[in-house]
Amino acid sequence: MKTRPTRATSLLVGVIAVCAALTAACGGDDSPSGGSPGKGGGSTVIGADIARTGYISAFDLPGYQTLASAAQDPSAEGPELEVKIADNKSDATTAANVATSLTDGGADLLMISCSYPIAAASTAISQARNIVAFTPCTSDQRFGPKGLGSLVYGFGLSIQSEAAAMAEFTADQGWKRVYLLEDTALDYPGRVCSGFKHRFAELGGTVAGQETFKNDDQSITSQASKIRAHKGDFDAVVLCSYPPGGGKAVLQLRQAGISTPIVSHYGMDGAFWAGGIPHLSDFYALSPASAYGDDPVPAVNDLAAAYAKETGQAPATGAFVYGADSASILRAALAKAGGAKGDALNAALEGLGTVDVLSGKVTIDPTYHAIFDRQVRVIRATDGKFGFFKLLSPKDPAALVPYTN
Amino acid sequence: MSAFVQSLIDACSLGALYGLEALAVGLLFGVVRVANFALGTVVTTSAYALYAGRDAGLAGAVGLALVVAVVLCLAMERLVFRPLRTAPVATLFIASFAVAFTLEKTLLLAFGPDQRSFVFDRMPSGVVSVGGYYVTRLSLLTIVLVGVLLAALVGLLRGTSFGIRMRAASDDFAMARLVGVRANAVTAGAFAITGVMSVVVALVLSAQVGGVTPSLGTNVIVFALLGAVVGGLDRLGGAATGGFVVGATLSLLSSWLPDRLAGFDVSFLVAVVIALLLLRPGGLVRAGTMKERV
Amino acid sequence: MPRRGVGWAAVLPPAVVPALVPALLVAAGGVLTAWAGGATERAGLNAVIYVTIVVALSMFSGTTGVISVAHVGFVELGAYLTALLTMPVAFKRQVMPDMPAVLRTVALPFPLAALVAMAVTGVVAAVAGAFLMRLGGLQSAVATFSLLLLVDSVVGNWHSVTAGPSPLVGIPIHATTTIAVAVALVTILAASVLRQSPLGLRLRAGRDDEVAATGSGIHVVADRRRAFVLSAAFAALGGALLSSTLGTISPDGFGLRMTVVVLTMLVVGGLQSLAGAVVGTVVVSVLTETLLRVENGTTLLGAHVKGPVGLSDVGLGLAFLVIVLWRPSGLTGGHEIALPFGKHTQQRKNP
Repeated sequence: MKTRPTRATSLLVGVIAVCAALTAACGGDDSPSGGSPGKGGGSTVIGADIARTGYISAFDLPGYQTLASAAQDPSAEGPELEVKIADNKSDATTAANVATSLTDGGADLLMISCSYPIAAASTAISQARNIVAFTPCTSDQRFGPKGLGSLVYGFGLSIQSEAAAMAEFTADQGWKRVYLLEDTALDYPGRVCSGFKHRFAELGGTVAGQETFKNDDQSITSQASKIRAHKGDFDAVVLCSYPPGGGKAVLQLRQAGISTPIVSHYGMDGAFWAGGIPHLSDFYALSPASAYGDDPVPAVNDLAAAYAKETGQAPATGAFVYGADSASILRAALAKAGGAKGDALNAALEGLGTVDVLSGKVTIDPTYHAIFDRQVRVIRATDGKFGFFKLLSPKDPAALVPYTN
Repeated sequence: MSAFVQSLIDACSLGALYGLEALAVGLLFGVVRVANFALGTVVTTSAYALYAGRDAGLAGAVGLALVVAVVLCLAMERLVFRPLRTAPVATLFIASFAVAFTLEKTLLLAFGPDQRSFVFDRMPSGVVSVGGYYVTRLSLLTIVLVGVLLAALVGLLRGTSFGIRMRAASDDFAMARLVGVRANAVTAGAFAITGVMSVVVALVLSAQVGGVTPSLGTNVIVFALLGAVVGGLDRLGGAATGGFVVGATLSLLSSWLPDRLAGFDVSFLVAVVIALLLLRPGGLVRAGTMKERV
Repeated sequence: MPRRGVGWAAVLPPAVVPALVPALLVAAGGVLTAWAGGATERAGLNAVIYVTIVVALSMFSGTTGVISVAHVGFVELGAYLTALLTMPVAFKRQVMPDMPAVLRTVALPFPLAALVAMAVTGVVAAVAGAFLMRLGGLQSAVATFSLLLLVDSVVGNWHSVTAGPSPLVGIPIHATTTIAVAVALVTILAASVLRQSPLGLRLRAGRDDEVAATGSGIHVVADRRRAFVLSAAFAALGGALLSSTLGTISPDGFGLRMTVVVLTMLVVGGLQSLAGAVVGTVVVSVLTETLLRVENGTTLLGAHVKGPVGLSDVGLGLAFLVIVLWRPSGLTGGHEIALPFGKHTQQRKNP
């Protein structure tokens, strides 16, 4: 038997010392970033518990960017806003930790991820602490009292609006029979597809068939073959997905010689995934705003230009309007509530009525805490170029709530 | 019937891709006993190199990617796997996990999560139709590439003195050293060859996807590795066959599983893999003289 | 068997002696972080849960020397079973109407649910272990990896039961820091008893020389299977804690990333000792939490630092590689740690 007390002891002491150092270090934890210098104690602090890394960051970051800019805008009227960001890494456990540290650090409101699994972890914390939480970039019954909690809101394009707009647009174009291709890696695309099917049937459309794939599948060759086998039996392919898998699907559909129009939704907004698809044409997606400088609302184009100037690159998707829109909604509600106290702000948001935001007018539905009347832009790709195609106000998206569970 | 034949054609094209990656896994394992999970990240890194060199045209980009991939593989060998040469095979496998994880997160840090899209005009596109069936030109290229690389590797191993040294090292490392084979050179050579193969995989993969994301190669290496182990890591043909079988099975499952079970293709595949490992732990294609190096 | 020392530790049964220092470390960590409160308490809570998971893994891998890549699958099973069993009946009926009646109509208190989760996971491990334990080396690593993929893909696709890729929400939150620390201590104690038990000694004999152990009449495969079942059950207990502290779980929280985290913790501390599992978990948790704070900007030792986003993940991978390359037996060198006071003999790696 050999004794090694010295090394063991020093190891133990070392470990305890490091722990103590950490405990001491966190006393000074003060993640200051994106704040508004010069604005003092009176401002409302929004803690941004969003992804700067990981799969959902492409959706989270643009909204954060314009929210932070709007908070710093000296010309803005209404209550002062300040934004503090911490990275949840597209990970639920981290999101819960970040929610705790942000609210401990004095956040009055919580901005949460666009992804339901991640947002769910954040709202478990904010709801318990009586703090209003919002996601700028999506909305549906899950981000609200029927799902994550009574103090949770979604200010983005609702899943129901996407489904309704997709169906109306497809029918308007005269495409009566479609083939569905649905991504099952998350359930968001499937919910849009399911709402689409319901509304499309109401509008007299029919479905020739349906295939599923997963976002990280290397190849959708077998699905493409089955769709190809129905060639001539459908007018368009309806794709419910998101990048990068959705881009892969578009590419492989075209590679398989399927040249019908492809109609998709907000999940496929943006041109960044399409650089590898030469001369992509007849592709349609939905967006809350055109990121290509040709939006029918001039203020949106101004914001896109300002965004490009500030970040050094043009916005990747229409999500850049979400932050600016959210700032307007929050300023209106904060002014009405007279503060950020959970219950008071909640009542103010529920009774807010229609608000003028940068991209148009929006109304918060008090039952679902969702926005169903946001105008939808159809974006079209022609010969590899993306641009604004059509403005839509889909009819009664809220009626699709039962079909998008 | 025609749908079934078409699904077999589709299965071949996915199988070829996984077979190509499994071939790289098998080569490395045969020579240095490393089941290298990080090969997937080498593929991803090569694809980023292709992206970085896209303005230089196909040849320029491939040249850049070759340099990057070979340097990365050599660095991996020198910094991680050479010091661990005497470690158990399972430990090396776990260590390659850590290498892959670190590299992937570094790529994420450097390039961000968004897909970087690119395409080379000279890569084949479109389909070839014969009698109602079709296959994409890219799949044909993949199948041809697997054949060419397999033949080239066999030629290298059988016909060159470097290959003979490599096979000697693969049969009995200690003995090969004793008779004067420079083990480090052979090992480094094997790693460098997998770097070259990774560039080929990256080229096909990025053309199939239309770009690159930090997790591009991870999916492929998971199935290629399972395939290589199932097929038999000790023979190049075994590893490539295993990779092909796994890829083809996955494709057939996604063609023919009923809708209710559509999501479970990976579950069924993995169950089959576990069963094969138990029934034929030495691999589908058995080697004659290989033995576990102690 | 370890010889008894002459210090006060001599009054304790020898089977619990190796548990002393790890238990103190966990208890101290729990108290310290809880005292600091807020985000630090959450980080501490996470670390304590990981102690349960990593010690559970070391019950198998530490005593047998066989690395299992499957254990995060068991954690996932435990987490989902506990979540499904504790969620209120009315909530389940509303949110997941297609769930089989067995699950839909019951709601158990957390401790009972956790026990059921352990038992069910144990049965799964017993069935899988019957096959897996026959494999060795790379085949074993790849087969356990396949098992992880299998669990992950079933959980991620069985919509009617697990909600598929969507998270389960509305899981009742029962596990406080106190409960998590208590569970970790019980797990450490169990691991210590296992190590000193006849089964543990046989396992370690098999680890150090399988041929000699088999020659002495030890059924290495059967013994490993027992350890596999026990260790899977405790891994499920770690999962139970996870779902009951977070209130929500989804399949992407498990899988490859958590596997890398757990294996790094085990390897950094030292695969072969109980102390290694705990020290590794503590060190890696402190490291990643610190790097995470640097990513988000923090004041460290009086200076404001802000690092590139993604730093903590890269740091995690590097920690693993640095240890494997320069200290393959881990920080503890595979030894248990004696109390720094009191005069008694130190246990050796292989008594």
